[in-house]
Amino acid sequence: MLNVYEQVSINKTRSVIVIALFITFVLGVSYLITYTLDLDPSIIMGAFIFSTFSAIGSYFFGDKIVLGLNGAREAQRKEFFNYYTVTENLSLASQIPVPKMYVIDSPALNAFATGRDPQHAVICVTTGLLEKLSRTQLEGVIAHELSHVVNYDIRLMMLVSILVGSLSILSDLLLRGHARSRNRNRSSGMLALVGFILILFSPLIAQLIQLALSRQREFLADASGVKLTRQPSGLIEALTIIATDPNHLQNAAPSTAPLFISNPFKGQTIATLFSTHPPIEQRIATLQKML
Amino acid sequence: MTITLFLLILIVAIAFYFISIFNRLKTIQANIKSSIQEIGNQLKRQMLLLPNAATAVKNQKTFEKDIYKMLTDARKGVAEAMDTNNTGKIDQSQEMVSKALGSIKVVLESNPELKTAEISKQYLSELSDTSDKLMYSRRTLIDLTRDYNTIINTIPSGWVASFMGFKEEKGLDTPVTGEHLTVTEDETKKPNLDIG
Repeated sequence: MLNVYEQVSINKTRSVIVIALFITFVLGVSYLITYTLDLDPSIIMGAFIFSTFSAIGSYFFGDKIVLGLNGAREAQRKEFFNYYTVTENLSLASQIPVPKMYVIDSPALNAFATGRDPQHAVICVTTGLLEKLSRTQLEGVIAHELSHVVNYDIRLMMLVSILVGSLSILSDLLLRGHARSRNRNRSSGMLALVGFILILFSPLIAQLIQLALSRQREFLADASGVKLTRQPSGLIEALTIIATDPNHLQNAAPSTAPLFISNPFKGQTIATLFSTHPPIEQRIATLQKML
Repeated sequence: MTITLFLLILIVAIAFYFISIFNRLKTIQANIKSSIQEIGNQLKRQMLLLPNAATAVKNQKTFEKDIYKMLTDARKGVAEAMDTNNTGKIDQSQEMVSKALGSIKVVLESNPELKTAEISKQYLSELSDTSDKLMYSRRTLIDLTRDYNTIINTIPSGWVASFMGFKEEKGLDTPVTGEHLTVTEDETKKPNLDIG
């Protein structure tokens, strides 16, 4: 198994690769379009500026984008005593500053962490999770999320979900928009072409997400989380409760799915594209070996 | 010429290694110190919380006792009246019940102790959180000491450390022999809790 320093350096390298690939991809597509439709080459320059700015933007403001997409609000100590204090305690144990804490008002059971590094990290859980789990079970979940923070999973996952994820969603929107519009003029035709190219590449994009976010990541976070609490039973119970809960996180943004502790779209078609989560049963089985 | 250059590079590299080990050990030492202070900080908080929690629980107990007394008195009256089948007595006991209920209502509405249960619950959860924090700050101390002692006791960093006079850190002082390291026959039996 990798130690935490190796995980950190892998995640940092992969974050740079994700940004480079994103810029290259946008440039490539814009070149293809300009070339085939014989348009003004300044479009390529525009695409370069656009992709660079969105990469910088998602690096510095990705946490706010993710929180905004999922409709999260800041958590107060008084309202969510257990959540707040458990996070304080576990960040003490993992020797990182206490991350900002947020909640999503939803009966579904889920949680995620994001941000660019441990100094700028955010943790977010649903209110349903806080109601259904005991303090020990919550400790298991928060420890899992803090492990993502410590080993820089949060940076990579944030960049992937915003940059790469947005591409596949864009293609979906463009193609659907074209199919719906009655008068197919030149500009809608061009947008459809962009969509079509993106669709052609979407297996590649999905593959990229899979590669960047190997399923190993969740197992690793489970294991290092347990190393913090020294109590596998808390996380096992929490995962069991999460797995059997019928509620879906209705307004979760699809591209942010890999961030969550359990796939918010379980059993839905979009789940296959973002199937970066190992089945919960498998994770529980692995944890039970630690008992 | 090349040999002197090589030696120079070697000396610079070794010097950098010494400095890095020195700084790493000093950093961990500072962290160990702060983690010990954190334990003291949490112990202080615990000491400040305890009397408040005790008062809150005591208040709640007397408050609950009063209400239970009123309710049992009223119930006793009703039971007696039912037994005697005397309409007058039934009326009387009815009055007792409504009086008891009325005073409970008054107590609940006017008395600030109405929130005693909530307050003592809050104090108790603050206390249990503090003991969690104590546990985790001791854990930090243990982890830091382990990292420090690993550097000191493995080579080549250990040579550098002993050359610069670093001593092993104690960490959480725990006796290395004693009852906590042995399991007695009794402890292997299945526990049978008698909650009465």
